[in-house]
Amino acid sequence: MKIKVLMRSYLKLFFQDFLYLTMLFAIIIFGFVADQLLDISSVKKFSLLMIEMFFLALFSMMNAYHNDSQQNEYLKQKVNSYWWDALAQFLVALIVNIFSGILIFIFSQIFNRNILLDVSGILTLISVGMLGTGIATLFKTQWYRHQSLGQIGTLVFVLLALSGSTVGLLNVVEWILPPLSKLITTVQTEDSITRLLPLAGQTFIYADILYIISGFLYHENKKN
Amino acid sequence: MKLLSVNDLSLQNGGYFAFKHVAFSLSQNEIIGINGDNGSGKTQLLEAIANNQTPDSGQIDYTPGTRIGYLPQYNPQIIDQTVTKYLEDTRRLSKNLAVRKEQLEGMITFLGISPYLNVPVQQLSLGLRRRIDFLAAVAGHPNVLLLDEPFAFQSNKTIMNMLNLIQDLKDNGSGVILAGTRFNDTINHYIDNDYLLKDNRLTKIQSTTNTELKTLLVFGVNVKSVAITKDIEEYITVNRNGLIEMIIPLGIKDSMIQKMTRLNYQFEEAKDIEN
Repeated sequence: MKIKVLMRSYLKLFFQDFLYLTMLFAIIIFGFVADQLLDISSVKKFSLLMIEMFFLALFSMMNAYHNDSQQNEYLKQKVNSYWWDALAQFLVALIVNIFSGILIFIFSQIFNRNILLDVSGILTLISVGMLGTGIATLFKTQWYRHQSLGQIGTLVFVLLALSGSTVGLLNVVEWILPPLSKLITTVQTEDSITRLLPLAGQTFIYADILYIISGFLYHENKKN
Repeated sequence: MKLLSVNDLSLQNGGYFAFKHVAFSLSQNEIIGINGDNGSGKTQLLEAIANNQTPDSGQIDYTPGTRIGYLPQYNPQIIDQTVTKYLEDTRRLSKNLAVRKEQLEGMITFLGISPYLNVPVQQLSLGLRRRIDFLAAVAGHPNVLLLDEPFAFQSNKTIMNMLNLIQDLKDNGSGVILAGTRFNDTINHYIDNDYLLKDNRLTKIQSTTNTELKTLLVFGVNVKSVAITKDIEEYITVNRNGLIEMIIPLGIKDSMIQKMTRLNYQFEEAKDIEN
């Protein structure tokens, strides 16, 4: 019952002020018209869709946490279970990212009869979305106790996610950086979306680790 | 049995003390009243007890198994569920410790919410939403009930019904903390220990209705006497042999004599008593 109540609440927070839906439909329309508008290849378009998916997930999750901080204090007091709350946040992010990933890919005009390509594309978008929501979750403290720390952390992680593979200095520690830029450079060099599948798995695991870290991090803070 | 003890609790907000060195305890079968002006720190104190605010110093000891039900002063949650669905979901959060479904339905009827069962909570008036928040706090059958300005926007009849529910919880082993700007005599009648939060300090008020001076009034009945109204009836202790005796708080002595005289009862005598 607790998980049901919390998930319903988080889903409502995602959809209540139309930020998520507006951004989602804007991305879908971009995917639909990018060929004619910009005259770019599917691979280039997919790179752009990955970046858009990342920001869609990041901003909408940040917005959900902002709404949560404004509205749900007493709901959480009633539920009184930190771990159910953390699990509900993860599951709602997963559901929303699956929904966004499928819709964005289907309307991107990359979708075709090659099932491996479709599965790779959708899974990559979902994992990139999870990366965005994971970063928003790790720094959700910007809506609660430590506003500046949360904002700076988000900025740094976004910067690292986008530039990690392109800065030579960071090559040594590339494995600890958010793998978004790695996905983008890989799809450009390999010129194939299906080759992204292993990296999509790595990105999903990376996002899961962010969720686990934030789970323990905020649990400690709550105790204090 | 003690449910919680607050020891030397202090809380600052933006450099200003909300309250300092607050100490009291709440036991089973006890109702505590905390009075205080706007901004005196009542809400902050209840938030600290409900675990929504971290105090700067001092501690709150909760007896193991303590479950808190909290009616906040303002609930910002946007609830688009219907009243029935919301209250039932809230009740089920406490699983088998919650009040039974039929009990909750009874409380809904008792507080006059039955006509709104299928209306989304968000569409209701502020007063009705307060009543629903009150029921949501009670639905889990908490052993510590924290009520912040519970009677705001409510009619006298609803206040009496809420007080009866609070009394019922108390009789079943719960401890209740009521916070409000100023409780009237009717509400004070239910309070066991009354505190005043002023200048950041919590002090016990010695004269709640349970301990304050009362007065015994005696009236004679004659042929012109008319039926006694309900608000007077509750004070009557004896009504026989043409005499009516009532025990009332000293503060309403004069107004009661006036009222009874208007109803053509003959004032016989008054005697101050200590309860």
